[in-house]
Amino acid sequence: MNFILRLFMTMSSVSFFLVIYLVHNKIDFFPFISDRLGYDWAVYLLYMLLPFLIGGASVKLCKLLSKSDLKKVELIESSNNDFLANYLAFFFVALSIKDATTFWIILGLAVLFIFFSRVSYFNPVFLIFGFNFFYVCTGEKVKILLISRKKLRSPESFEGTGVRRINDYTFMEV
Amino acid sequence: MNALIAKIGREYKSVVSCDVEIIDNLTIANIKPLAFTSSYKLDEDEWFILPGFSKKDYFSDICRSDYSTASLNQIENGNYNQISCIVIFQNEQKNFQRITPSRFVSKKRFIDFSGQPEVVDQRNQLEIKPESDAVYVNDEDTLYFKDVAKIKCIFPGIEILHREATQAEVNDFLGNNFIVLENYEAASVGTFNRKRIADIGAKYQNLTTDKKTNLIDYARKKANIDLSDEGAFRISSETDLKKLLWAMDQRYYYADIYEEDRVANSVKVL
Repeated sequence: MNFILRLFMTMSSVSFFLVIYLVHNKIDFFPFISDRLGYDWAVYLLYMLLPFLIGGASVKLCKLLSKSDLKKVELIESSNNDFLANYLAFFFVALSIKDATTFWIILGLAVLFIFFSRVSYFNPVFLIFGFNFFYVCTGEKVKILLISRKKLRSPESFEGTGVRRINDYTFMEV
Repeated sequence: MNALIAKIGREYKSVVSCDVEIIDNLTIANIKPLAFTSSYKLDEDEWFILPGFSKKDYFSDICRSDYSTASLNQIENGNYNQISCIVIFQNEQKNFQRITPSRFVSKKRFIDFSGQPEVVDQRNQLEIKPESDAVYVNDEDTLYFKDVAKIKCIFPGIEILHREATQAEVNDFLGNNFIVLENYEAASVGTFNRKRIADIGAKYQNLTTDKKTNLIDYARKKANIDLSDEGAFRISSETDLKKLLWAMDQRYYYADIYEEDRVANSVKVL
């Protein structure tokens, strides 16, 4: 279960990379659509939907993960912006590649690294879906990454909640 | 939501959480609570209690009502055979169960007759007993338990409630002039007798000299142990030592109506 979800999340994060490459190099997989409409961007819009579709599916999958309790926290720290730089780097790399072989090799490496790191859980799509990223220190002094739609502020006003365990350090409130 | 966690080495790990009840709740109204006394053997509906448990040295953080299971790592499949105990979080009660190798049922073979009869091998499973070794009730801050020996690996330090005598205390006790050892050494005294020495030896030390003399006279008559020419007890086995310690706790008595000599293996001060 966890494996499938991580695969989905990884796909969702790197799909931006793929989309930018396709758009930048004007690669059109569906010429019949643009031919009929007369606009190139209709296909690109279709491409742009891809990260959101996979991201949306990941959120749905999260609801099947095992639950844990988060009853008391000692520290809440927003980390929304920490990871964004990583994603912007993707964009620039994708823009500078012209050659298909180079692209697929770099994409393969990116998938590999993202899959085995925690970056895959920080997906800009989640931000657009209204999720926020927090570093939270639990009552037992364990630092975890919490993905939640709530706007968490102070540990005092934190209400105990059930969270989904994505891995030992990452939890999502869905 | 109910959760089950397991202790591996010094660390607790998260196992599973679910909405169904994992175990029957301990119904406080149906049980008889008793303060712990080492000399007493419990009936089925009786539990020892430790009120104010959160103030004790051997209190475990796991018992705190605001404990977050999100702080725990998830157990891995290779860890299961190292589980020393499980804890079930359910309805403000925390159930503790010691895990011994016999609780793993992976080698059994069954006939499964739920559909067409077929021979099936047991899958890797860990048995959850219907009755826990200890239950901590959050609202009362009270620990309910039946046997200190079973929960000492769960709450390290709790064995102080029923400790074993140290080798020095055993040596002191066996060095009393009313005891002679025959083919038996102070070093080979077993766990149960060490606990008895810790309890009864200390009680004996607090008696007045007259009472001590009377008690030893009583033991000579009742304990049915061979005496040396000087009137000392000839201790040659664990059983002899147990009989002497029981006698020193005045557990031998005569039931005059039934005309029987008896020994009480469980006593409680009324």
